[in-house]
Amino acid sequence: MEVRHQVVVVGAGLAGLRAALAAGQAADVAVVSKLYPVRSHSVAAQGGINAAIDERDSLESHAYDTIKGSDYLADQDAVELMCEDAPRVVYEMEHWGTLFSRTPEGRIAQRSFGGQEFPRACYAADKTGRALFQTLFERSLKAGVRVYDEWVVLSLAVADGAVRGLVALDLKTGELHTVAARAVVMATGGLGLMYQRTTNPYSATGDGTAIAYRAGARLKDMEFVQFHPTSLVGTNVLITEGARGEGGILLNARGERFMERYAPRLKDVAPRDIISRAIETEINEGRGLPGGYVHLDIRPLGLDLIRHRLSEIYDFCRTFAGIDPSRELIPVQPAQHYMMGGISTDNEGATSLPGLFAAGEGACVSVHGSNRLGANSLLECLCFGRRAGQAAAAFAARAGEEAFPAAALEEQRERLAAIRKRRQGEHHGVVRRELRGVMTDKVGTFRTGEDLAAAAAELARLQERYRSVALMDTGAVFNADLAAYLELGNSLDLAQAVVACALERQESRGAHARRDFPQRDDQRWLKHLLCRYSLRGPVLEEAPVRITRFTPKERTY
Amino acid sequence: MDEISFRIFRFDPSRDAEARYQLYRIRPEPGLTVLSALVNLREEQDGSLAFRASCRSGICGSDAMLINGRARLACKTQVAEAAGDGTVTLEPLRGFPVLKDLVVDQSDFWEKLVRVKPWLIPGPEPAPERERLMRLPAQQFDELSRASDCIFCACCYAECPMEGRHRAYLGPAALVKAYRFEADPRDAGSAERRGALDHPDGVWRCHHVFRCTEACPKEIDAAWAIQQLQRRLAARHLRLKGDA
Amino acid sequence: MGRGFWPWFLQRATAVLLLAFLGAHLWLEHFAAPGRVTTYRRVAARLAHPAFVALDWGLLALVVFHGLNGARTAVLDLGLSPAGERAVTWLAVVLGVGAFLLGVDALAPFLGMRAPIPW
Repeated sequence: MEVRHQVVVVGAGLAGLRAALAAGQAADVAVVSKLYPVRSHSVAAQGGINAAIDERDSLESHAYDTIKGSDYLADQDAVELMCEDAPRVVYEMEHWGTLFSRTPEGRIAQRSFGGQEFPRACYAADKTGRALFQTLFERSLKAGVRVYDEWVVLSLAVADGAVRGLVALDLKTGELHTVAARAVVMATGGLGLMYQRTTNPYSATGDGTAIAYRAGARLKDMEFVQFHPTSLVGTNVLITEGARGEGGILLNARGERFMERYAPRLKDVAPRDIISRAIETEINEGRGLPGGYVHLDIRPLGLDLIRHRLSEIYDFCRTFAGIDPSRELIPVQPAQHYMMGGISTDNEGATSLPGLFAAGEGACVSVHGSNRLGANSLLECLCFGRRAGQAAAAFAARAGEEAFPAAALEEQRERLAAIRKRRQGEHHGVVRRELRGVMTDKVGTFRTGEDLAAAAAELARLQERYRSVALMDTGAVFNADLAAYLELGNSLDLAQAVVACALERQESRGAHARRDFPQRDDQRWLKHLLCRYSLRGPVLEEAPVRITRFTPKERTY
Repeated sequence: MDEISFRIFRFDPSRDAEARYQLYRIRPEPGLTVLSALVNLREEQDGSLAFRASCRSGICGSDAMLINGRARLACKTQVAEAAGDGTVTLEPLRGFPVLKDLVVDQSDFWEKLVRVKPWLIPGPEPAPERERLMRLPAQQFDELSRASDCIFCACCYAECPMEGRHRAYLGPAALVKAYRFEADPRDAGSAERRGALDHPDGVWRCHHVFRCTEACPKEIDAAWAIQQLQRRLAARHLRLKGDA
Repeated sequence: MGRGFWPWFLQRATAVLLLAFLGAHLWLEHFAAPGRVTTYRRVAARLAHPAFVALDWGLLALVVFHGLNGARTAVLDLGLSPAGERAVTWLAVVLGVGAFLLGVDALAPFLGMRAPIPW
């Protein structure tokens, strides 16, 4: 099948749907997604969305907290823009129907979140992502947004240095389709599946980011991987920061509230990088529980509050850990949670590749710098998703109708035929497992040059093996084996980018903590690392950090 | 526990003339969910096995299937609990066309959802600059919040006996969604939704078998929500005052 | 609109009314005059009174409607074509009207008799 739209959005999560709705105001738009929209991981966001809507709060305070949280690596003009847009975003979603939790006066309720001096996370119990996403999904149904669901995007079609559309595999039939477009918005979310311990879903393989990378777009800040302090031991399902925002505390094996030592002021609501390192330190120094975890205590909050404001958490604890968090301690450990880096964009979502735009977790503006504050990612998706959609529609209006390059389809057809033909070789599942092990062991909370170099070498070997893996399923209809194989290729390319950037950055900043370079080094490293794809591996470049009015200083909480 | 058997429905329309069941042996570890077991199976034993999965924590609604005959989420079902007699039987959701193995075509489900106009339809008064105030008694807000918890997994459709017989019946999830807006004080869309709801294949098809309520992995009382819609519509027909 | 509502509503309304009628019936037959024996003559005499006949016709109408509508609903639950559904509905209407007329006809002769109510 050949379809043509003016703007095509890849990914149907919060950023993607917001981009589609915005682009749809001025252009013919369609969404291509490997999942049906409501299956996207935006629905898993729990805690909240930041906006300075209280009279006692201020945009400056929100911006300052975000920039300080980013360890001064965020681009300050972008942060200010996002914080200024935040109240509009929240009110718009409320007007569209989002069921925010309310204060007794009937206003949108706000709670404390990590690294913030004011309780500014607007929330819907502990299912804020789902509440916001459902509203957007409902709006997209109302607007009649065309969604090609369960289409796996294989590549971008590029001709004369500009994007002309994409090639996708229809999972339901096994057919290849071409989608011609004047502008493409990548919004495919995170890449956490490359880690063994992650809060991310099976589908978080960074597809759009990897495809854009291979097509020539620059990646940015790839060394900054966020580890969430509190994932449930075992499945690593997320336990929201909101649990601590509501008053929950972390305890080590001795029952000590150890965060008092690491962040005397904010304690258990310090930023995520600090708490994750604190937990790892407790465990490494023998004060963790056997098997490597600590306890989260939300018992003092009481059953009533837990069941109303932390209802999902209550359910998770019972379902996945068999415990009642109103009476028992929750076993938690850090797990990969979020990717600060992604396709490098400007404030309008434009990338280095003409016609390609990006938004959401798979993009990097950068508003999170080296460490994202909780409740800023939903905001980022809605704020920059809209801007990217508008910019893509404007770009499409200027661009002419160009022919779709036939070679792009042929290339993918050959690629799939080749893998389907291969009868011998190890299964890609083995390579995936090893990738996830390497990333968790060597590219985690604390890093060393030695570990990173070993990881880089290991990844190169895995890439080599990937070239000769085989499928177990060569059928046409819903070939999940083929989809997983394609996803693994994306994970591997992005993992190499993560490791290359992490090895390059010889300092500790935000989520990137090098044991061999424990200090932040503004002189040398107050800059972004950009990453360009080449067949020989990632090629790194540098870009300045845009600073407006917040001068970098030491970060204490 | 020793090894247990997974008996899985297999069907690939591009290759198989008819469906069959395939047996797999797995070694359950404590805490292993049916979904994790399936993922392991696919990576280690049989890559051709098709099922949907994403969040693995019961929020995305991808992995609804029949587990020992009952519609459940694979990620929220412990293998140890499901393997009472040493065998876990997995089949695709009842009432939907099978695409392959455990993957069904849900298009009919989405089409029904759209028919209830599942979006906020505000009244004529302009929206305020800030948020609309919303003061609801705690219990009412909880009911509303609960009704908005639907993850579209379609377990309720697979379990509903009416849905099984009447393809045209809107079904529990769509009606719960309708209720979520009808009960929202900011919504004024009753008249627009009435055509779909006040219809033999709308709310009146429900005979309160309560299988939807039993099946819902998010513990939404779907049958109760449908009754609320019936009450509202009945009050309208009878011109009664009240919450209609 | 409303198709679907009336059968649903009337099924419930007739259920409530049937309860009231059955209560009245049980009370009259068994508790109003303890020890009294129900005989054909006594019943016939009571049925000579138009109010009682109207009461029984009403009871008959409710029973017939409630029973047939219930049966119709159960059959429709099996999932028929729209034409099949219409056929079942009309069959129920014909059966219901027939059964009711039969009952009317059976009680009508008593109306002619003139006798004091044998309390």
